[in-house]
Amino acid sequence: MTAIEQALDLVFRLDVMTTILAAAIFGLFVGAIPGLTATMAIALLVPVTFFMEPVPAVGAMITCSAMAIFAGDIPATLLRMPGTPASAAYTDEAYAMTRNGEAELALGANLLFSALGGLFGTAVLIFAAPYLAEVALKFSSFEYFWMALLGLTCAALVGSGSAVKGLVSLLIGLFVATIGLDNPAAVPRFTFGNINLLGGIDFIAAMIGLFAVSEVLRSVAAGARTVQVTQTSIGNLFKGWGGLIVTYWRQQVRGNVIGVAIGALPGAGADLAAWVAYAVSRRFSRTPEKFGKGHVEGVIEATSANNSALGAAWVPALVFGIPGDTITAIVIGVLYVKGLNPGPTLFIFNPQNIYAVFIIFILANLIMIPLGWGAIKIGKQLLRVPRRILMPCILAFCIVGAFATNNAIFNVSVMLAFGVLGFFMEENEIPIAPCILGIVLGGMLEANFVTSMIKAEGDLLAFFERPIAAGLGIFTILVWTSPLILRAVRASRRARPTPPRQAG
Amino acid sequence: MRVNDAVLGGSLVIFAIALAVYAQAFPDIPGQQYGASVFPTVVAFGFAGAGLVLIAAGVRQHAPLVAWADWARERHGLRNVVVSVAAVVFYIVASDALGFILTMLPILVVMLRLFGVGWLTTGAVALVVTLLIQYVFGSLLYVPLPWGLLEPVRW
Repeated sequence: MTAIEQALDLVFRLDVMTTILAAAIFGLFVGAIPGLTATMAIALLVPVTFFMEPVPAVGAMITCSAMAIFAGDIPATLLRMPGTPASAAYTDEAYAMTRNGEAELALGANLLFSALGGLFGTAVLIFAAPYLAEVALKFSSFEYFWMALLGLTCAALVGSGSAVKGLVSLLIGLFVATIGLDNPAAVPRFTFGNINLLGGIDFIAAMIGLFAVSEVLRSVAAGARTVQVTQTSIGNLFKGWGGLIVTYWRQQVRGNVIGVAIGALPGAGADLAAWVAYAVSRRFSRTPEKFGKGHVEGVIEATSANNSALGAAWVPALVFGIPGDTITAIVIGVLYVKGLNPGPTLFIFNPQNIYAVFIIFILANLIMIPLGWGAIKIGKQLLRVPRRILMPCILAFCIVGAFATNNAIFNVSVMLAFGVLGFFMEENEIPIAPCILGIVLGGMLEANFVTSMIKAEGDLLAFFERPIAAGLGIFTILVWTSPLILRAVRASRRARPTPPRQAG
Repeated sequence: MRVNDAVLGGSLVIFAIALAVYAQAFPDIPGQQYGASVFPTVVAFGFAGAGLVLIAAGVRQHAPLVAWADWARERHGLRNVVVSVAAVVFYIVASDALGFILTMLPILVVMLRLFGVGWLTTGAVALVVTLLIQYVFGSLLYVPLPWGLLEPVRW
């Protein structure tokens, strides 16, 4: 039996299908509720996937994240509240369409181009990942060190408003990763004699705290009020789909390409892809004056981008074990638990599992259309779920989820500590995403750094001796210094009289 | 709670110093120059650098040392946060002795009531959610949720 046949066998089973369907509905639900992010959906899902076989577990996470990213468009369009950060870029635009009475068009376009974008991202994943895996086979600790550092750098610098605060978040994550016995010298570090800390901070419990508990705290702090829906009923969603593709195929393709490029960049994900795609769409539009007043063009480009970024983010995750965004960061953690250690060897020894992942990606984006249609139809009801009831229930699931990761009450304490930490961080505009990437990649970064240092006997130039390592290293340093370079460019521009610039 | 960047930076620098000093105590790998202390030291330097930048930024801002966000002015905002944290602490302390059901039920009832949910809905939601979690995690997924006082009626 070939690997593809094996993969089909792994996917087309009743339990896998049921799991995927349930995860899809769960993802739609969480994504559609403003304030509950796609990452939170995954965080709540992970404890359940612990008890599954690898393929349904990964399938559930793929489907859930794809649905949640799409469903974030629903409250963005109807309420001007992005359901997930990935929808934030075009929230105003989509809401303006709703006010113009074009909610169907906006939501229909979101659904169609989300699914198509997801399929495009999947195609890139299918074709690029095995090729890159061959390259990755030649990697030594030097290359892995640079890859990990590049991913973390992107997460801290590119993905957040303030580079310093992104760095602080990243360092918190790296520090957390050093706790415990798991380091090159196998010395207990920062355990303070606590046996529970010897094994390190449980990544799942920390993540539930950072993404779910902190979100609950923020919501109850704001009074846990339910938002008012003013939107009228939704008509025929499929109206004009053909026309949209014919008119806007350029925007779609460009959005897909931007999404894939940013998604595949380690450390930058769907949120950033949507912002960039929206900006590009406006810049190259023939009718930029229509933007912001309810024009579907930018919405199409940005929604094409955020869903294609999702698939592309899996490329560095599967090939190098470097997450492309927070969702894949969590997925990597789960893959390790499942014994499917990400890396090029996964493609050699377990190709059927990789093909199964690809198949699930395609399926997830196909069932998005009927399920998404249903979610939009009952969107009004979804948005009306009272938060004051929802939040205590989510907290209950968080507690049990953290406990279930290794049946230790200590993990509930870890969850709470990180929940409060995450709440405090968000209050002070310190982004959370770099922290979780730091926790995931910290061990790998340290192991490769120390191994490389020992190999090179402390000669830092050895990090640039191999060609790929040198390339990655130079690129990483460029990203580091880019804020300084940009500032220098701006300063020199300010010295000269500024040429008249178009608004926007 | 929004802390002035200078205060934040100052705490980071202090943390960085503690981290760096503490890390020096870690033994190296025998026969190697680089061991367990290298990475935490690098992280400490990062914290110190970021802390210094934040101090510089904070001094320029002239913001108050600690500012409360809008939600603290919100009615019950602070209380809701404290109650939510206390609920988890209560679970950590009491779940082993009381058991999952007897811990989660009061947590949900108290939170729902404080958030202004009616008695009938509160009772129904708390009961359904608690039993649902007990069933899904305890029975389907074999998570050993503690039974505590209810051990005699365990099902």
